[in-house]
Amino acid sequence: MLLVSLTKRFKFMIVFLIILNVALKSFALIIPLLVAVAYLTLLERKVMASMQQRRGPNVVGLFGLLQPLADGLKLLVKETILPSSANTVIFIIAPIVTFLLALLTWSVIPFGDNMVLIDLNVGVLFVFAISSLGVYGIITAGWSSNSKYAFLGALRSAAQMVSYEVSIGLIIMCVLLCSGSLNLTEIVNAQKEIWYCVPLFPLFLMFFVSALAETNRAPFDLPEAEAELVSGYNTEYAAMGFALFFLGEYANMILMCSTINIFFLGGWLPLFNLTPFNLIPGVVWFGLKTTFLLFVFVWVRAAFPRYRYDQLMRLGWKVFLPFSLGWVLFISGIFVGLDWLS
Amino acid sequence: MVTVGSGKLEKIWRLNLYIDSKLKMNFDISLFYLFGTLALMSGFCTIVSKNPIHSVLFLVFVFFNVAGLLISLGVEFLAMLFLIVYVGAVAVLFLFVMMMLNVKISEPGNSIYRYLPIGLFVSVLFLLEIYLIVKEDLNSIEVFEFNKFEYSTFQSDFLVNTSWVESVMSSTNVDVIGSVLFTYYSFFLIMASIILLVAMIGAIALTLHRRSDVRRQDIFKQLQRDFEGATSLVNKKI
Repeated sequence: MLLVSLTKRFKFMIVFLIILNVALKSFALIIPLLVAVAYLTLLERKVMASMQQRRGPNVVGLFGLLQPLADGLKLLVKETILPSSANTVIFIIAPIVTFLLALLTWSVIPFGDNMVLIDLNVGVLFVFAISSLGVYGIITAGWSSNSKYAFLGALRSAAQMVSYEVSIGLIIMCVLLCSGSLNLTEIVNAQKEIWYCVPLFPLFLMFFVSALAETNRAPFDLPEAEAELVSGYNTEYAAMGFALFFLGEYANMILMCSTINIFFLGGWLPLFNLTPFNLIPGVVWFGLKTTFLLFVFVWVRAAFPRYRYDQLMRLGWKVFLPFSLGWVLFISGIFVGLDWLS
Repeated sequence: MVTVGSGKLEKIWRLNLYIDSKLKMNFDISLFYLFGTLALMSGFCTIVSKNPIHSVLFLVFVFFNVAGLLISLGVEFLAMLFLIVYVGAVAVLFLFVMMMLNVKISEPGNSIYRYLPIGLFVSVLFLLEIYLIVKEDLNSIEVFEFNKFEYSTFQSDFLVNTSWVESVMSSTNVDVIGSVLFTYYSFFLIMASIILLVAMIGAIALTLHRRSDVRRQDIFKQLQRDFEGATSLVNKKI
């Protein structure tokens, strides 16, 4: 009886503590993510500048280190504009959805051994599902703006993301066949012998290119081809709406790099399992690899011209799809033939 | 771990267990009600709303809530597949087409009453079917015994590698679904894939008429071009 009365007395307290626990964990993930997004934009501008022999932002703060904060502040204090013929509710919801979906996937990404918010059994499928939902924010933004530029950008983006998801799914299937688990932590642990980028090198390249297309990055940034479509689906957005799209896009970029890292570059595993490499903690390895991939994202943007849309679709459907399908058959054939499936 | 004189610890432990079970149950039930209510409401809105785009978005919301229900039932694999297939692909294409067609907002009118009889008929039929299925399931203690017998004969006679209880107890529901799908229901799996293949080939065949008057690019030929091949000296008299 005493226990029951105790429970009743402290019930709200306990519920409050549970909620507080979840909220603190989430904030511990979200705030560093936002800082990372801010400094990714700075990294992009700096790297692009040095590749084009410019200086890049160097006025605000030391070496321009406060530039992202200044940009964020600018976007925050600007006026929010609602187009009069827009579908207001969807217009407001679209950037929020994009941003939330970009944050949601981070809950299953493992940063190190046992450093994961939710150790989901179907983690890979969760990442895949949520990233395929990212289309909704974009397509509804384009439609609700009631503007031709935004609408065309949204249509392009939706078609592009749906097309490249197909080959991404097949490539993920190959990785799953090799690791034998849908859990992201176990996928990384399965790479202890060798990172999957060595035996599955073509798939690694294809996944990287598909990730570029999936995040609407150059050379596949047709949805926001500024020469034709002003700014694509976010043409009509100002201030916070635009900032949320921007944050969501860059958070998705970091997420894609983390998933490439987890699937192919061994996550938090060190380069060699030897003493000097072992001493560096796994989180640092994770960060280093992801940062390297992000650098390559920026490098590609500085190096390659934009694709034409029909070329983009051809690459997705006529090159990547048959090739990744063939790899699925090839890998499962090897596994069945050599009896490696446990 | 528990030592002598740890009555207090044990009490705390019991308290924790009690709170855990209580909270979890309450939480599960409230999640069920939340998802169920939202699914029903947005399903209603799908039918009622006048703008077709809003209808599709509400439909997406229905899918979301049903996925949530499936997760709270513990079948997270099916929930994820639901999200990937229906929300990530089918509904996107649906929305895509809706937006491109530029469908005007449908007029409210007495059109609802025209569809009422057939709607009622279908829903009554559906209810009846569900009742039959649930009835079969509910009074099935004897049937369960029979099933157990049937399963064991199945296992000993036809299958090599299935121990139902163990596979259910130990593995994730991906494993379970896979082992059932590829053993008991392999025939249906192949049937379904053949139907999909036929649909795919049909879609390709529909779009595969090449007009002769359209100029096309041969990417391979374009990539093969280099400086030597592209320029040539012409001996021309001036």
